[in-house]
Amino acid sequence: MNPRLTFAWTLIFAALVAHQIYLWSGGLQVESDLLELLPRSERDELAESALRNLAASASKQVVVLVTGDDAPAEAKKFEAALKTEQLKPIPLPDSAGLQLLDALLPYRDRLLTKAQRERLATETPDAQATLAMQLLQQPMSQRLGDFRDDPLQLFPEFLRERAQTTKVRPVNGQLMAGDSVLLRYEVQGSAMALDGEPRLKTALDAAKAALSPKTEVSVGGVPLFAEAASVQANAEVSTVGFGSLAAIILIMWLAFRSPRPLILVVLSVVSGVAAGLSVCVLVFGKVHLMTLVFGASLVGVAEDYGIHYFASRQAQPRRERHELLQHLTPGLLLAMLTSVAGYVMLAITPMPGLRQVALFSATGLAAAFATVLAWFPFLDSGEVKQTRFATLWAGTRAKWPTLTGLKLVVTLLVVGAVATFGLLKLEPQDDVRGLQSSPPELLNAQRTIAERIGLPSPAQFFLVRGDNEGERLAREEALRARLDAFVSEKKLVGYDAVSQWVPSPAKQLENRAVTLGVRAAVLEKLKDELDEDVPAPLESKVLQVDTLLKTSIGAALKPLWLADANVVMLHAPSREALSEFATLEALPGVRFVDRTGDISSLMKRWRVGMTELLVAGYVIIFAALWWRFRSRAWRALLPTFIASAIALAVVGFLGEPFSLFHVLALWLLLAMGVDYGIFLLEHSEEQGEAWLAVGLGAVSTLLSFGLLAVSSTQAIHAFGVTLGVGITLVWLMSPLFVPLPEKK
Amino acid sequence: MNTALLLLALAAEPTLAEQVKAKLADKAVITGTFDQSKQVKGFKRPLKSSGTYEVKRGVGVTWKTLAPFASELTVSADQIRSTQDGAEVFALDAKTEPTVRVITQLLFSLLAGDLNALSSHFEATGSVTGKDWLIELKPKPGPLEKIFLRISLKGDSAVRSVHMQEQSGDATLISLTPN
Repeated sequence: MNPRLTFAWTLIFAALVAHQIYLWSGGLQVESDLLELLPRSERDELAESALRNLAASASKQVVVLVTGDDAPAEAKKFEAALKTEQLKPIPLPDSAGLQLLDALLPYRDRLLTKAQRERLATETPDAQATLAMQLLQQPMSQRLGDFRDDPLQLFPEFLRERAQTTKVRPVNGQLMAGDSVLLRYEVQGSAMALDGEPRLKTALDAAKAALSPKTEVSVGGVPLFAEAASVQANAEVSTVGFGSLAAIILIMWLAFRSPRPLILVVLSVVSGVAAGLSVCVLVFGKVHLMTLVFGASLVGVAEDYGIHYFASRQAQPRRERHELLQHLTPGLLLAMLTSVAGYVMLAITPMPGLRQVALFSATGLAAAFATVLAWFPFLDSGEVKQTRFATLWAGTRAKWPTLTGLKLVVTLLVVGAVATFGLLKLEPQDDVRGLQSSPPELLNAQRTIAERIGLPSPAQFFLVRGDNEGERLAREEALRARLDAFVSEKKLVGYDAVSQWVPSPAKQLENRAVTLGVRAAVLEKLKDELDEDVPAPLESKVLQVDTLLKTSIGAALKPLWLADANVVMLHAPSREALSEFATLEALPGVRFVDRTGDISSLMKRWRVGMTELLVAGYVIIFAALWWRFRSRAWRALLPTFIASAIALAVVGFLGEPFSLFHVLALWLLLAMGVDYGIFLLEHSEEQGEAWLAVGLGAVSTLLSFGLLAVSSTQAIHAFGVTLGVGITLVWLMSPLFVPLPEKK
Repeated sequence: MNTALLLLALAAEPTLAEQVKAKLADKAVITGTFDQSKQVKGFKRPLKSSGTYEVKRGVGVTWKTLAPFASELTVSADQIRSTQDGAEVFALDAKTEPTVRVITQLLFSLLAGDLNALSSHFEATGSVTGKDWLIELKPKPGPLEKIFLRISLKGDSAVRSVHMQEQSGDATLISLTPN
């Protein structure tokens, strides 16, 4: 072959080895954040930054909710029993409540809740004066500041209502939410378990076991999801990777009975996987766990070129190696390019996860191909001996039936009917679950915690924009007035917004007029009881958002106050409410962000779009085949088409949710399936060896992809089922349409 | 050597809480009448009120004001509820507002003279002479410090008076007459 290619590839390979040494000695950064797999919002950069802000604030926290008869004591037991360096307790904010009180106290005349405003507007001064005196008479009626300042104790009431936003309260040195105690920990270092050991879970489970069995313990937090994902991915990478490798080694050994072909094919596969990993890291900075799982299947795909080479060598032992490879190259190149094209189709979707998979796989295939082309003839000295297994296998080709005429028509009709029946059973499902796969017990615990401590929905929120702080707050208040209607119709439990704490400047002045009016009226009614020198009403400046955010409680609201917009978080919005929220976008500066809905509609659009495009894909591939095979081109394409239809029908029969990922799998099937047809047509005179090569390649490919079906991530599972069934069928059907050469 | 002896002697001395507990009659239910005089800054005269009270161990406190306004305050471990002529004036529930427990526990401990419970929020000093005892409570750093300057408790076999001095300058003296 071309010695310059060999030299260039050797240089690249050396760089690759160096990079791999760096990666495996600690330089490899693996991403486990499931958010990274999700498509970015197509509409708004701001929505993205809001989401990332919300996610970042909790990315290292593990929370434990202890519920039971004696939750405070049980929680202390849990703390004592938790023995791990990885989890550091987050100290209770020191006198956070007092700090907030001090910060807001100078502005108390400007702060009223909605309920207070409504009540004060209707109550008579007489009733208010009586209430003031009654409040004084209670044994525990201690108050903040002078009676005459705030005779109705409106400020403490305001704070109490604000405190309801979160159900979590420090009580006697512990964080309580109702009857439950909340423990918070911060993960030290990374929660990633690349070795597959669930360290956090083990430590937390051990501490759980130390408690009374009656005590209910819910454990949640992003690090636990990350750990579960990496443990799961670790197992799946091993299953898929080693399973495929074992299959290749077994097949190679059976077919060639000699270490050289085995070692060289494994070398081509390893160079492919290494190149895929290196390029992924160079382009994306890090590699996602799901890419590794999917990438493990590359082992079973990238071996095709090497196998093909050795199958030809075995069949034509006398032919010169370099010349043989030259003869094989056009077919191999076409096969490689169609496969790469299939992966490129994954990359055009807006899903970062799929882009990584595509880059990883496309690079890997190209590298494995380059290894075969540049090195095999040099390294493969000596003979490739005949084996019984290979001869038997190649021999089956002659006995394989060929469909022609009436047989062909009948077969097509029967297959078409069965496939149609299955396709009709397909149930499309485009929600985000396809991308996520977390253990149900973790999801349940997370839901329990969110309910008990009153966490807002993370995927749906409003963004409110304005030119300045005052406008932003005023627009948010306008939005809240509309949301209040949802709350009173019970379509929404509540919401969190900065303007609940800091009213707009205009609202602050309104509130001040109300509080001063009420104060004057009450003091007037009680003037007989009171000293003559009533102190002057409080003078206050405009309360600014910054004042609130500087307190440790207010700091928790920072994700709601972005540089360019406010975020209004929603508590338990009903489906009905979610469908109506978009109408609120008519308000100035208001935008509704529905992540779950956005992703679902995006996945649906892409599912439909990629299905339509698949037709174009077939046309293009057919054109490419026509260019080389002319009127025989259909013979290479038809098996793939039938296999695709049946693979989808199988998904329908299995009752699995049909998603974008099945369609993408069909793209890969198209890309790889035609390879088998190409090989058989390309070597029409050497059917036996081509059939052996196709068979060996197909078995390892279908095993690799089939193993993806074990993945608990729906997306990967979808690829596995479709490709496992599809590749098997393409392989078995390919010879049906390629007539054997005339016996000479 | 001397130090060790001294420490031993100190250890043998019963704590203030134990001493007070020893004086208090061990009754599951305490009932009686109260007179409250509240000096509120800005008012010409102290605000006086009176009524009856009931402290049930492990259950809670009922504080029934008869004059000048009839009203009732019921305090259980999980709830504070104030009613007037049967109509609710306000109610705080520990389920939604866990800090309510701090208040309910405080009121209960003050009226029952439970020094052990009080010591989680206050520094207690005091003396015991004969059957009488006197305790001064100073709030530990925390939310209560914002409200109370100090609280004095006096009593014998029961709590006789609670004197609360507040940061705001107000002061409340509650005299208790157990039945």
